Amino acid sequence: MASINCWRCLARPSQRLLLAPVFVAASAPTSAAFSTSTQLSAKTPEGNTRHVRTGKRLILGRKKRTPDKTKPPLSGERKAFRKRIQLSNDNALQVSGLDVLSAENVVNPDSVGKVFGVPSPEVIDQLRTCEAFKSSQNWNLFRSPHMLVRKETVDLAKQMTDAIEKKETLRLVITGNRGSGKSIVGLQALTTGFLNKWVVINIPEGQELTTAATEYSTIPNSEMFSQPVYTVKLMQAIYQTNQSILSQYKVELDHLQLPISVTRNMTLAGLLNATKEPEFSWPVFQAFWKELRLPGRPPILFSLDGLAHIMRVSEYRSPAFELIHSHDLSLVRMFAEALGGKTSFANGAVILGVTSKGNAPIIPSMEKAIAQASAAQKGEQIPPRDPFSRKYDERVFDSLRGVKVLDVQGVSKVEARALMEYWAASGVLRSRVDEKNVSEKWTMAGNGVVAEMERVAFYDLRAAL
Amino acid sequence: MPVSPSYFSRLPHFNDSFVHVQELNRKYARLPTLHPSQVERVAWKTKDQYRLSIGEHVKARDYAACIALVKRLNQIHPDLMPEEVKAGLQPFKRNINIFLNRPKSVPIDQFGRSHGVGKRKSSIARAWLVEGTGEVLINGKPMNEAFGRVHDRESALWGLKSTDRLDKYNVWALVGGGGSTGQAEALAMAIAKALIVHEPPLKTPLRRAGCITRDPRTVERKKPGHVKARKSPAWVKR
Amino acid sequence: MVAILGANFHEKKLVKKALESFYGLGPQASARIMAKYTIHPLARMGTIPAKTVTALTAELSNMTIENDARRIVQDNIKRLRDMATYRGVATQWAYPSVGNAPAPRSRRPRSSTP
Repeated sequence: MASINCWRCLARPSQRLLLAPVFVAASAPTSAAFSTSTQLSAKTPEGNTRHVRTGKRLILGRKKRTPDKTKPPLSGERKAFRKRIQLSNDNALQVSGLDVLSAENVVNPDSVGKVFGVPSPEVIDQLRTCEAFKSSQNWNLFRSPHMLVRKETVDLAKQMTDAIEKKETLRLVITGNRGSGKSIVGLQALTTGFLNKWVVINIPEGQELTTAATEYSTIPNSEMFSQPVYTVKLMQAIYQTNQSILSQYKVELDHLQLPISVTRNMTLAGLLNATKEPEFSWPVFQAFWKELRLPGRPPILFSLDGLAHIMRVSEYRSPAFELIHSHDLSLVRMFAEALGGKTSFANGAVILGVTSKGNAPIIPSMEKAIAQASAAQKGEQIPPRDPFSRKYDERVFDSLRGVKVLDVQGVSKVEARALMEYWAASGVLRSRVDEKNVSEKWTMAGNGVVAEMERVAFYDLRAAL
Repeated sequence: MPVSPSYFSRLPHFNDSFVHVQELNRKYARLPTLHPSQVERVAWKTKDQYRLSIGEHVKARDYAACIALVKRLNQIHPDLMPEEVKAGLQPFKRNINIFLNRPKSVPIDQFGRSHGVGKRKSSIARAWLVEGTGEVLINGKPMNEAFGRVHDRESALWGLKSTDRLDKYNVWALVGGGGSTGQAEALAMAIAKALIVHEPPLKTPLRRAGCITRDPRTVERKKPGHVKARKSPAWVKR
Repeated sequence: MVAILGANFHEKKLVKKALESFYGLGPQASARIMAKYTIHPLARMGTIPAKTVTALTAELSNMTIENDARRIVQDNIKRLRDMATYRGVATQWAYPSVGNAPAPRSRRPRSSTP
């Protein structure tokens, strides 16, 4: 076994193997590291003097195979377990003295480098319904969801609120290195949207739309394809998260071509909830989208995570057995046109594309378009396209024309310290949080990349378990 | 008539030298001497080297007695050292004095960078250290991209960590060859060497931390007739 | 249970697998059929509408699959055998017939000393 942690002794890691091994795991029962009571109450096994040999043991003779008597999990149970999101942990300590995020302090520059709680239960429920929390984020280590407000968060929130006050459209792409917290910044943007009572539409995973895992069908008199089942799911999510806002507005247009009857005294929420029939979902959603953009309606926040997946040719095939470009899928095209500035919003809107570095395809056109947008934003020389490349996709460039770019990098040491103090207060991090320790973890995490900070800080903990 | 009275003895050269050294010792016994710790170090020939140089099989006991006298003579205060003694000691000195060798010191350059090189297995690392806040770039990449394992990251910065200098310097490094373990530990050595340029007193703690010594273990070569370095082919009947 | 061309399939069965269970229908043909009726590759029998199921049955009934496809292969073999070609005979005796290597025998032990 490799050494548990080389910093425990004064030898170089390679030489540590020569030293006598330390048995940490032998006495530690498998329980949550928050509580020491189980470890203390656990009796030492009898016969301590028994010669215990580590390593492989020679087993002679046939291994006896006992058939597994336990029932296999039911269908869908494994996936549910994998995808489940646990937002609270009773073993973690309650952290007192932290403010709750509000529409005011998310745009306040003074709140940079502080940890805020997510207002519960309404915003948490809304975020959960629109699938903003991900199973890859370690929400289950803490008593209740809290977020570190960083420079980028305040910057983004300020840009969003400014644009919506002026009834403009902010089209923005969040980029950054792997594990730098892009999705969390997106989550914070959604939270801002909910706190400001905007209509929030969130597509949690771009790849759910393009990897040919959900139903699709042709749209009559159109070259596009609709995704009826996903659209129903999305409509229900919008209905549940924005019900209080949408029920204040009535339908204003005539929708004679719709397969369901829509009357003038129907609210927008009612329109969304009018049908759960996949066949009718796309026309109804289109009508809703048209209604939402009429003057006098609430501002819109439309967000999508995993931008790279919707910038490529999808895995669906048309009846002529040709691969369908993602932008020919109606929902994706709706987002792409909004992001590319082809759709006009009368009441102000924020269109947010969040890139992802895990399980994301490499799209040269998207990378070039983002690099160009980023250079234009900084006022630098715009990098030209490679004249010999055949891999460029003009539709991708169209959909990213004139977007703003928010580059999320590692956190500063002040923010890192706030984060580690929060971990320590929650009982996850047991070491002392001082300047030296913070600086060390910050360096180890590649200059403060958040996911790596977490990995490095909990490395001792994970190794001991 | 032979030149030397010891011409017919077994060890004519040695005997001549020994007698000469004894005479010198007797002659200059009263000259002031320095304490052994203050005498400039000289690389004396070992018994084997001496045997080889004069071509006579000198007995170890005799050589030890002779070299003790030589060392006693060498303690004479250098200002009063007679030419005769200097010439008499010459056969026992090596041609080069290894104690005068000094490693070439690479100074801190005009930008405040110090440079160090480290090796481990088949990896070679070069590191430049500047005073800073603890930022690390390896091959132009941040730490988390350069080393996937946390263990490797820790071992790469072990020199800085063990001397509490992690947030005092910025590291810019180039690593090549080998795998991640080799690269990380080569880097540890390179960083330690570069750190010594900034702060020479840290050499001893760093040596204790195991960052200065080159780990000589490498892959053993494959031998003919063997499947690997030592593994023999399996025995086959007929 | 969903029936296509007289065969019953469980509702959890992948459409792709169900189509490929017919003799003479491989991955290529099944992918084309599914694209024609806009069924996604991970669709299950229970999720496709009844209209599509009947369309699939109609589509399959016009194709040479199952016994028709088998008969074509058997006729080809029979022709070769009747002509007494090597391929025909080899197929009859289950010998390698299309240029593939014969079954290997056990390997000769290599002596360690030359």
